[in-house]
Amino acid sequence: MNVIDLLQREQEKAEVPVLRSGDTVRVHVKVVEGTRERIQVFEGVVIALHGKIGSGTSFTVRRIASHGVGVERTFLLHSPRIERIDVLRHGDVRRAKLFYLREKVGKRARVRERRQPLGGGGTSLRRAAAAAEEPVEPESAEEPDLTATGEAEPAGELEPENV
Amino acid sequence: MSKGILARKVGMTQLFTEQGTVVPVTVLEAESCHVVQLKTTATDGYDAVQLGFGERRPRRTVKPLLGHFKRAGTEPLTHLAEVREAGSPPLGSRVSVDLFAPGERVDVTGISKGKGFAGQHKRHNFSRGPVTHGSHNIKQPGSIGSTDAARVFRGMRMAGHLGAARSTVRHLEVVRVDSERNLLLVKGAVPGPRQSVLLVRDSARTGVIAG
Repeated sequence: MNVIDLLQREQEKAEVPVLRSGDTVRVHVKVVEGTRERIQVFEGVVIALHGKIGSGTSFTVRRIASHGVGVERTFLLHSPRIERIDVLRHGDVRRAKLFYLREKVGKRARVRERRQPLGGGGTSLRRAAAAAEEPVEPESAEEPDLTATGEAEPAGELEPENV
Repeated sequence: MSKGILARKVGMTQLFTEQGTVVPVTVLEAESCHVVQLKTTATDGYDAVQLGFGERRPRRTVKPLLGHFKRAGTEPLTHLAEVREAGSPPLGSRVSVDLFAPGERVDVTGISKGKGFAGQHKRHNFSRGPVTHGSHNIKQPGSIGSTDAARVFRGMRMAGHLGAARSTVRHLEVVRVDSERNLLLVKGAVPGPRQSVLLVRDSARTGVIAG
């Protein structure tokens, strides 16, 4: 492995939640106010993931603030300023970048919730954990196991439709 | 007294600081930098340390150079460079990145990337003419002199070969020194392509520049 990859690897956090476009997340950001530091929460829909795997990966969260003003913030996934990321729910979306949400207002700007695991990513279990108010990070380690069980389910569902 | 080291450009990446901001850095590797010759006022007319860098096959080295390296007690090296008034480190000793400390300022010298034959706009930052309204003056240089002179003065900025020339970027901050892996992480970009050999010296600029 080359030196640059190693340096990047050292920057990465040990555990980071698996995010997808459409997910509703709660990002806990450290903010410096004068001399003291506090945690600020930014909750919204992930509308874009940027970059491949590595310390430079970022994601954009959109939330509707007061008076219906849309606010978007881009975070570096591995930034030390991010205390924690909670994935509250998964969205059922058909594209990787949800920039179309900017033009939508009110009910049209919603993202349908995805209840079925997608491609066997072990999503259902993660959602259960989020509901239990637990940090999402620990699950990412378990994921390889879930892939095997999750994949079997959607395949079974598809069969009746095809017949 | 100044100091310097020869290093190879590995590439660029970015680092998080403790404050959470991101710093763009160039990674320099100085595995095989050795002192090859010590020049003194008595013998050479000036004081300098000659540094060598990069492995070179003995069979591919000319005999006068082989003797030069033999005197220093080093393997044959590909690149040689001098740093003036750099004290008198032991001949043949390896120069470590420990020479520098984080927060120090350095000047990085190297051969810039070759751009080939470039126009005035790319080479001298000329402005272009209007693109629309029937203009045929988009990428022309404009006037190159008056009728009175009846010739073009020397040094007139024109199209020509750009890059592949010695270039120095000054006053770069040393962000991190990794003596285990012999890495020097410098803030910002440095001249030349990856794998090129650069001379890193302590900055000639002493005044503190903001940012």
